[in-house]
Amino acid sequence: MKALAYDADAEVVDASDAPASIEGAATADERHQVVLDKEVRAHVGRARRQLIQVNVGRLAVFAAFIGFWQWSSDRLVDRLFVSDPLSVARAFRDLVTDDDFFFHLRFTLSEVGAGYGLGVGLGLTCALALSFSHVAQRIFHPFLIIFYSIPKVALAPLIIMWFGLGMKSKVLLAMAFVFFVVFMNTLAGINAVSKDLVNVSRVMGVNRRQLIRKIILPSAFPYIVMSLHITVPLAMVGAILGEFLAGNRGIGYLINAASNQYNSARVFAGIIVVLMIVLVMSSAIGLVEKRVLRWRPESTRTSF
Amino acid sequence: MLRNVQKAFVTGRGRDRRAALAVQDVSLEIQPGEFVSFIGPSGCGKSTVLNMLAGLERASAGEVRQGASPIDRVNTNVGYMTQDDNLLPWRTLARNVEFPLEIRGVPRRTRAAEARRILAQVGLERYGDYYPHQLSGGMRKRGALVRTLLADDPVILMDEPFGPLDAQNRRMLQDQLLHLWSNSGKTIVFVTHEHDGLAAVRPFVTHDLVEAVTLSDRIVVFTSAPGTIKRVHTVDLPRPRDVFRIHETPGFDEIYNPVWDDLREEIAKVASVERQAS
Repeated sequence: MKALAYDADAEVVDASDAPASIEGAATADERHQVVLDKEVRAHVGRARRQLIQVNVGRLAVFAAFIGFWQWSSDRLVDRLFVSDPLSVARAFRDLVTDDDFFFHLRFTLSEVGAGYGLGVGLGLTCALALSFSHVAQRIFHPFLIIFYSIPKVALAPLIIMWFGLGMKSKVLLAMAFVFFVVFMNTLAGINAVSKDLVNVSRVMGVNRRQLIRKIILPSAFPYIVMSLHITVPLAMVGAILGEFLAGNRGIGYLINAASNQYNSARVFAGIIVVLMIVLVMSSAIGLVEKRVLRWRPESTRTSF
Repeated sequence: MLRNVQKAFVTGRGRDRRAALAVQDVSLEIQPGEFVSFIGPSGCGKSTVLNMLAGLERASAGEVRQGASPIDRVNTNVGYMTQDDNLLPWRTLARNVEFPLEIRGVPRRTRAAEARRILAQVGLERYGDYYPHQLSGGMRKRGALVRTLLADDPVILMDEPFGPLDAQNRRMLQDQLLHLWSNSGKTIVFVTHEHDGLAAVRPFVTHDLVEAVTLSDRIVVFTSAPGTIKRVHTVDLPRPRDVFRIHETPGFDEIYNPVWDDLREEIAKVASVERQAS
């Protein structure tokens, strides 16, 4: 089996010792090697061609979108509202070279980071705490559903009232968005752990701590990682929402201020900054996922 | 080991709620080092009895003991295998096999060496670094089997362990199981695959019964629900047994036929109940 395995990502195939054709091969082993090498080359070629197709396609879609935007501005719609890509690019440059841009950026990043971290931590802890008691799960279930059903946006004014205009209220908002998703997913993951597996492990003699650390958490990990992915943009929603509503700091505040001045190019520039933050955070989590979930078969991975 | 054991289950809700006995008056003494198989129609409670031995279920009445000590909590002095291989998918085969040693705090080096040694006994020495999803069903089962053996419990409980495998792989695993078990002094309690009512009208030989005859010192035939022990058959075929040609062993039919008669009677009962129900 090992001899037949090959690395799909391998760029270079070591075939230097092997004869180039079946006719040139002396032994059966060499003949087999020729077939294997050919198959690997074909596979690498296919993968490379597909990658090129995908990237060209993506570029084309993006270019078409930008082109249409530039063309339609002032032809189909008023430039005042939609701006145009060139103006947005200029506004983006102006925005990030502003003296106080990094002050605002740091503010938003801290809110998102703290809200995300707290939400994830609290979600995991609560899910673990509830996972041991069927009764506790049944007691809390309706309340959780009620809290989950409240649009978190509607909570924002209250939270700002309670915790002020500063960073605290924004962190809490971001946390509220993150907490439930992590909590619900983790609990679902823990409840989905194979009963058989738990029983076999208990008979093997695992204690409670080992059961959590070595069986339950790793089993639930795919669920947990999925929730970590989903909640990155949600944390951003919480922070930006808070900045829209109150205070005079953060990227959300900059976007809101620009929109009040009908400076749509600057609004788009702000949105691009937000987008970039979310993308960077998402890919960081994607990297962690790739490391931690190495053991999973290719086809079941969630990232793309 | 088991004396007058009963197990009741409550089914239905509200007005329809009633308790039914799944296991009734089961008494059985299993000797150390013995290989005992449970066989019977589906729903006869043989898995329930096994779970009581594992301490995963409590008897409603009666006594379940291992040696002198009553089994009143999860029994960590036995090994337990089910139909699923229950390998941890995030661990390589070798790390799975050493798992029972790991939770006992055996040092890393020692347990890795132990895992390597026992994997070699079932021809898996080259696959230690593979993850379970990279292995075939039969290989995973062999891994699960040696993991259970490496834990070195005096008793091993197996609940339809070879159920999902094809005939060829089953035979191989039976052969390896017998090989690993012989001279080990371990007691094995083995529940064979479920028989549904349809088996009575299917005329062919059941693999499960052949499996029981091949492996066991004694075969315990359970009645249909509520499960009681119908009869205990002794299998006195000489060991070591040839798993692949067990049919040709002199005396095979004399053991196989009476067990099959008992089993068929019980399966027929289940079939007639199912017919009435439908």
